[in-house]
Amino acid sequence: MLIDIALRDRWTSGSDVARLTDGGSRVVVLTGFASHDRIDELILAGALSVISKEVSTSDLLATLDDALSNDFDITPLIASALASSPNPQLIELSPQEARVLALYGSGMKLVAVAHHLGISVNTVKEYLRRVRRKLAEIDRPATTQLDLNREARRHGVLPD
Amino acid sequence: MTDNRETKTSVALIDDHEMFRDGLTRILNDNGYDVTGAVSHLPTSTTLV
Repeated sequence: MLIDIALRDRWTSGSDVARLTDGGSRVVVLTGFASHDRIDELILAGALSVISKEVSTSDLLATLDDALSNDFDITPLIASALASSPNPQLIELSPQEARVLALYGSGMKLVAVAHHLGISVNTVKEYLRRVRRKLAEIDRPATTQLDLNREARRHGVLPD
Repeated sequence: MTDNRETKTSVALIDDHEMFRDGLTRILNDNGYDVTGAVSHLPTSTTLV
């Protein structure tokens, strides 16, 4: 099975992967935005590989071929996840919060983020408000876009 | 690309973006895989494959 890591209303979890592999399926995960912790969890649960949606078609097919032939491939995403040290100072992000954080944190304007995700500017602001509130709860206030860029990278939704 | 495989591997695709799902389904079918199901939500069983 090829499963997107971020479905509309929730993340694909390690227990989802474990349930499918227990049922005899071989699972490969696709990801656009995901933290290292999430990738780590899915690999530990039995996913054969994690492939970025940003790779070329030929790279995607090659990685899928390798994974299904049990030629385990350490993709750059997995290597990065495995190399990162656990950090308890991370917040739990919903898929849409992660997307908004990644896009806004990359420097996009609110209206561009809204257009990219097909949501209103007010909805973007609401997601950012939720992210900022969660960050404040762990004593990491993020008042500026630069702060959010730093947090996006720290949470693995933007590359370092 | 052409498909030279004798035995196709069955693949179920779960992704909530319809355009991505449709595009990847075509790519996989054109490259030796047999996409047996493409849906937006995780199935409760493995009946897609």
